[in-house]
Amino acid sequence: MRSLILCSFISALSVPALAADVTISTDMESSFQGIHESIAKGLYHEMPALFSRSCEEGRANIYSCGEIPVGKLDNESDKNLFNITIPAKSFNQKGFKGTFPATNVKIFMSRKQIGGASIPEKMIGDNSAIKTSSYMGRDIYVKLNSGNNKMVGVACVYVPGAKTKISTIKNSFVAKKKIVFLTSKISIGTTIKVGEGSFDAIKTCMSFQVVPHTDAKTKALSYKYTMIAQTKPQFLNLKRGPIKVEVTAKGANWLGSIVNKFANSIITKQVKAEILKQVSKQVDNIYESDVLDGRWFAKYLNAKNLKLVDSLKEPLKKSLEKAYTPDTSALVASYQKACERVQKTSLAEFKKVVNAGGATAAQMQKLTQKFDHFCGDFASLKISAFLKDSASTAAGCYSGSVRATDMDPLLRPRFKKTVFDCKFTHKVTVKVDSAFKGLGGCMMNQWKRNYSDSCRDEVIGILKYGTQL
Amino acid sequence: MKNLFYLFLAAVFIAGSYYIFTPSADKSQRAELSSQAEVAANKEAEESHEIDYENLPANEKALLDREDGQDEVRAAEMEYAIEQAPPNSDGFSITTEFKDESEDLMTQALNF
Repeated sequence: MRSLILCSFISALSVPALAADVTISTDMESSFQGIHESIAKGLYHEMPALFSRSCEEGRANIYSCGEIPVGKLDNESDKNLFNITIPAKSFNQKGFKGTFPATNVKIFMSRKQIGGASIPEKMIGDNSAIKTSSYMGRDIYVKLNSGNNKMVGVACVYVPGAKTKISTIKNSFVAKKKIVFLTSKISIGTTIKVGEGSFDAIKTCMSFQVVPHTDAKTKALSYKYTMIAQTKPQFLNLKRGPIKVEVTAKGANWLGSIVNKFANSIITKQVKAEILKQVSKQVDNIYESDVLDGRWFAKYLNAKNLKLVDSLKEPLKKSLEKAYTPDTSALVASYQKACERVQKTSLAEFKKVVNAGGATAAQMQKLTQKFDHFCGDFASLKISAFLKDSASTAAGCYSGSVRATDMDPLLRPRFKKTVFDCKFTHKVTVKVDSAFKGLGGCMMNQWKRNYSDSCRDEVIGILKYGTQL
Repeated sequence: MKNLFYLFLAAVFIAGSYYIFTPSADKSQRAELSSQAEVAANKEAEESHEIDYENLPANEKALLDREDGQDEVRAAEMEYAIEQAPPNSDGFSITTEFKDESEDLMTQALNF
């Protein structure tokens, strides 16, 4: 009886044309919110201390939340960037002998950081001027845009400002010369001054892309993140901290003047050479001029800052590769599962038609083959990814930035609601037998709307089609 | 007692005269000896990392012999070093205002 009812349904529907493949398609979406949240989660996971997690405030022996992670912590207010150890140096000039004592010059940076620098970031849905925070990690801005079947982005990191602490190291020693049974003495005093150096902020940006990648063997489609370019760090309002060496001699006579000049030059050279040696251990391409004009400070921080930006690359890669939807392997698996379910139901119904004499066993076999082919077609679906959405373009989604910390789901969301509406669209297309067009479309809608549909009308159409094979 | 005092003065006078008026031949002999001693001293100085003005290269000597203006010397050295530094070797730039580079970076990523 049931078969007869089914047969009546079949006859009521139009019979699709045989053969000829047709393309069916559906649009999918990736929200900016999802992508940015994934980036934020990735960054927090990889760098908890940077994002004020697993860190404590105001401790003498550990970095505080959002503190620039350079230098050895010395106390609650300063940290030691490095020490310049100048070994004892003996000299003999015109018979005057003396030893410049071993000296240790400590270079400190204040732990109090500087915020409030104006930065050229335009936020999505927010035209207000943006200023830096004094906490490191709070100023990471990400901008996303659509490319040709890929997503491109720019991430800019701003490091808060800081300053070196002025230090002065004084030494004195005596140069002696024996003249017959008399000893002439000259007291030489040295002063090594490390001038104040400061900057308001450091900015470094990088660009990246996320492109579809098809595995040569498995044909599985995945998304690969690649970093494209990185800018040189820009130091805002850098004030240099030169290192000066002053030498004075007492008991001066004409010999004293020569000793003074000699000692001045020798000691200055020694100090500069040691500074170069010590700083160049940590920074490439440092020149004597850098020590004289304070550029050493910027170069030292520059090297540390670059390492920090480098450390952002991997978390960004992980989070962006995870963030991207649709996951095509899941999409294919889902379609295939749905297809198998529909195939099983349809063929069971068609068998009833065969048993009732409405179709032959040969037609049953042909329909089974057609179904196998149809389900296989979904494995080769194509995606035109990251297309621009017209409403998102109008809302300025592709030209504005989002601050990573604003997207931290565990913090209070601070982003403007416009971000909710920003999205990319992805066009999914697949070629199927024209007879399966309706069924394929129904299954795509199931995926898009995320609900289970029996696609009953489409199945009945296929059963009718089977009787004509 | 007085005699003893005159004797002492005479001894000081003779010793002083000897020191001042020694013949040049003797001096050259002494200079040779002194030179040998100087070589030994220099060697010793090198071993002990002492710096001796006489053995400094001409340019460093010239630097030391300048009557004044060590700051000027340093400034000249600095200018020279900056001129000699390869272009773009710094790896950073100093600015009073941050530039917006995102458009350039985006273009690069799009064309990559």
